[in-house]
Amino acid sequence: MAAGGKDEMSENPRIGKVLRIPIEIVTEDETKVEEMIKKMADSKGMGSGGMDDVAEAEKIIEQTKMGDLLTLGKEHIGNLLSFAKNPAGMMLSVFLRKFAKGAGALALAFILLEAIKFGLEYLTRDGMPWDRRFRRYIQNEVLAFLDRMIKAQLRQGFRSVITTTIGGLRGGQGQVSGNLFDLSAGRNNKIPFNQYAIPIDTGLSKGVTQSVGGLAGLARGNR
Amino acid sequence: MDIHNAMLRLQSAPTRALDWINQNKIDYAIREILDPIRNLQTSRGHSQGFIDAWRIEDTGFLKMELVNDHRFADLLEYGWEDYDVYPLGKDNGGADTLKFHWQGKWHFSKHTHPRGFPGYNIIESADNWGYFDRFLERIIDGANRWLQEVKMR
Repeated sequence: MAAGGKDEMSENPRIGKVLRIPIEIVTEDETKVEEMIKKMADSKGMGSGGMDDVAEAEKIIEQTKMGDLLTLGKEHIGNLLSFAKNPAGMMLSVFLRKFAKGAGALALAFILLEAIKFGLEYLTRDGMPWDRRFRRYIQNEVLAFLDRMIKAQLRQGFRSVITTTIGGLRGGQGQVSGNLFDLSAGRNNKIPFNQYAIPIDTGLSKGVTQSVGGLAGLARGNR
Repeated sequence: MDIHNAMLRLQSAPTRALDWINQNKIDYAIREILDPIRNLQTSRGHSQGFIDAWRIEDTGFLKMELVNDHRFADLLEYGWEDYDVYPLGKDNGGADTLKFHWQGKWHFSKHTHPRGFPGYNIIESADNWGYFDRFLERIIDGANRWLQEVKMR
């Protein structure tokens, strides 16, 4: 900046100059585009007479990059007509036309393989019929685990098995049990107890069914 | 809709596609050109005032302008070269010495040589990163997708 009281910066013509970068879409041939725009402006309103203009505009567009849009349109016309005549045949022919030739056959095989893979994956998903997790009976596995746990506890002395002739103390009679169990039917009375119980005939007292209690018995506090 | 009507509709597809492109060009330009340019400048630590001054202006059918009206937009974008500063001299109605404030001190000198600045060159960068090409690609994709949706109605 000059010291003579004059601000030279303000004299720079580049200061305050607005930066303008023009962006144009479709700039292949400006004359053609202008012609096309004119046609489009004329054909606004889509009256019946306007269709010829549109067709002409279409021809112009065909020669520009926008031609891609038009080819798409023509394909669709063909598809629509054949679909109207024979829907199933059209779908099949379109599919085969796309994939049956050369490398297309490989693509078809690849797509089939992918479809099979997808099918298998779908069926083996969580909760689906082939879900592998449901082939395992978790109930059995838990029982086996608890059995092993109880066996280990018994072996180490943390748990004991009490054998008694008093049926009421064995459990298996429902929630309520005790030594007031009705023995009026006699000592040979068959005491109903848990189906999981393993009866052991020790031979010490004949006619009395003894039990280690079984899993369910132990679980109900048969001690 | 019968086949005849469908065909008429398809024939007008290019017209409608161009109309659609014209209506959506600003949105696409903001998404594909303006925002990426702003992000690029922010990542390079450029002047925030310059970044905020970017905008898109509609200038006609299928035309628009990327505008920056920051006071030093032109200088910052294209840069400037090294230059010399001499006093005007008493003969020319000025002083014989330059006086300027720099780094907290007043300096007196017969001549200074401020360095130039290479400029942000952000438009060149945007072109190199393919922002403009991608804009064109995306808007034509969008028009195609829109045409397919409309045709099936």
